[in-house]
Amino acid sequence: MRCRVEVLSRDEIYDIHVASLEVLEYTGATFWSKEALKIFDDYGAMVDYEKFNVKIPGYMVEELVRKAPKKFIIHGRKPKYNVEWGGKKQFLDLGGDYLYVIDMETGKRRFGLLKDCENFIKIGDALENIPQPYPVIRYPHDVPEELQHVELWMTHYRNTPAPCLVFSEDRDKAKDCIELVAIAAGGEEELKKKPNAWNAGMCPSPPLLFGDKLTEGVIECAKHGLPIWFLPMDNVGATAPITLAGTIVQTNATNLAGICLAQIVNPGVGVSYGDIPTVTDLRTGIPSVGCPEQALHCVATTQMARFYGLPSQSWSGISDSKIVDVQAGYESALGLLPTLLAGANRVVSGALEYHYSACYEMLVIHDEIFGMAKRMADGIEVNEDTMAVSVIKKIAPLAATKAGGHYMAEKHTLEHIDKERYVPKLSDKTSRDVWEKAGSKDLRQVARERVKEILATHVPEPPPPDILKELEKKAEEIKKRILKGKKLS
Amino acid sequence: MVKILSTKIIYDELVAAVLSFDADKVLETTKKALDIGLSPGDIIENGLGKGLKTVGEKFEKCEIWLMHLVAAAEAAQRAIVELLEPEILKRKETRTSLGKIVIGTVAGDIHDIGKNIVRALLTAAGFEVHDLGKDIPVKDFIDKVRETNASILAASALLTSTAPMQRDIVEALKKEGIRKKVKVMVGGAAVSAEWAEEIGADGYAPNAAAAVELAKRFMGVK
Repeated sequence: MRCRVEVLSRDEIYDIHVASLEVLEYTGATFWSKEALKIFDDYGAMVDYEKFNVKIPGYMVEELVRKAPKKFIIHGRKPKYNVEWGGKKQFLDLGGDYLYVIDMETGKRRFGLLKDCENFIKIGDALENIPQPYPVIRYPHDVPEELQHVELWMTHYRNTPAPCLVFSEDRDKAKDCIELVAIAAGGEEELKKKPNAWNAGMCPSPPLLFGDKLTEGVIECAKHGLPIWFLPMDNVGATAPITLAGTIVQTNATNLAGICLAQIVNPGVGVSYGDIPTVTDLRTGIPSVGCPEQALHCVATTQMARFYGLPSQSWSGISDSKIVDVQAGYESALGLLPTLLAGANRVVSGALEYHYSACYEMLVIHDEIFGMAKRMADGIEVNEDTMAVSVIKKIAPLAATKAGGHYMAEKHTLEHIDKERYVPKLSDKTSRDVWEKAGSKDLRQVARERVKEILATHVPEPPPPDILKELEKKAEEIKKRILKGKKLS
Repeated sequence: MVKILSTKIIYDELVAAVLSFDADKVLETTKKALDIGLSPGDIIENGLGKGLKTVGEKFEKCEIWLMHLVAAAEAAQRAIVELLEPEILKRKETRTSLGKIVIGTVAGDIHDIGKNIVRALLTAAGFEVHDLGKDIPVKDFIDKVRETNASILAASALLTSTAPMQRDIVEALKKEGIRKKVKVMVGGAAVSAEWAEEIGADGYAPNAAAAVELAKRFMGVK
């Protein structure tokens, strides 16, 4: 069976569901977008325009959530780059929207640059656990703020054939990206048939507040049939209750409110239930993520997503440490393992310092931890063939002979290696002699060398030249339009 | 022309059989090669040996795993021991090998998987290997070295409690006055390069592939 972790019983899941409905029906959520208020009003929810408040009756929530698909495909440049979301699929991605990068050469923190985005996408593209690399740095410091989404979009497209992204900080930015996404898809009609991009992503501000700009970006994406990431960032003990159960209710209610909006705008549009909880450190007030409560929270919300039958993502497995050290290793492992065992579809990597700083070395280290944790999640297959009695019958008696007996050369062994064994990519498994001869390197150095090797050798599949040309032309057009608009205002 | 062509085809088949990691196929193809009149020496050198070289290269590149390496080596070992060596005897030819090696797991120790893998790889690499088995007293090692006139003695130990037997072997060789005639290599989980040096062995190998390299170095082969 697959290896599973659960922290909520069936009854507790239902209790949290009912409590979330109570919150949405009697307290409601805040939507600062007038358009969103009108959408809810037209659908029959109880809207108070003055207080920006939307109360959604329980039956309506259940009805709308049921419209969201359990599984869907985001199309890559070729079918082999498609990403399937939902069910038992589990993959790693890069975390995102960090301002800083830990510089590999100096070890110091600095602002993230467009070159870093390119590097991270390239490394993600090279790692087999990452089917759709996120650019990590969302606001490259060397690009004017108003042009960042365009530059980032083009950098992403050039460096991976994976599905695209829509950077939707507001409606205009979403529209700009959707223009590019449509060209990449081969036109508006194709885009409708084969959605090839994510709205990345919708982060409501706790408690239960949906900012106007991000929400309008969501509406724009939903209209075009582009799936949406909902990523509440409830902060245990500060912007959410101190009790984990209370925070889970709030996170759940926030996800449901967002999903309702998307399903009213475009019934059946893909959504991902998500969770980026932080836990207020009791001494420093820092929003800690490398702590046991954070992992428990992520396991619980993953269970809630499974209860609704929705694809899910869980941002557990990033450390509070400032450097690549033992703390970074254990906090990452203790976050990634339980969420993968809970069944989260997307988990993230490549950062340190409670999601403040992207880190190159951690990206390949997380890839290794993911591989190990995923192997554990896949569990043990027990059947007549895997129990191997016929092979044991053949080999065990040979122990009595001079030649001895072992399983290494058996057909059964060779046939099952690939499925049974995880192959470590970074961890050292050599003998001391071999390790010393290779320079007695610690993991930090090995990870750094791996990053450099990938950057020096990996060439992502280049985009079709004609489409790239068209996209470059469109990107220039959009940039001119933005700069002209800026001058006018 | 036909002969040359069929010879080439059979060599290719031998290489392919080794690369299939299937002992039955290797034995069957070796038989076929003997039937059409190829010499055992040529079969080892141009067929099995070539296949094993490719297997070794694939292993280095991480395209296959240790189990594949062992399976290929054991398949070749079986073809050599079961088919080719008897044929050499029958033809009253002398086998050209890289050298003679006496190998065994020391007394008190029954953990022989490492030794068995080393044996297979050494045989496949072209050594004439005399395997004593496991739980082997010092005297048996010495007797076999005398009997075969071997150039290398290889002893393995997994337990820290049995590793001292390797020292006893070195001491016994000295006492018998044949220490200089034979190179001693040690291996096993309880053993390290420091230990090899301490007991006066000639070398230590951390794994099976390294053991083959070490044995080749002893014989002055690249």
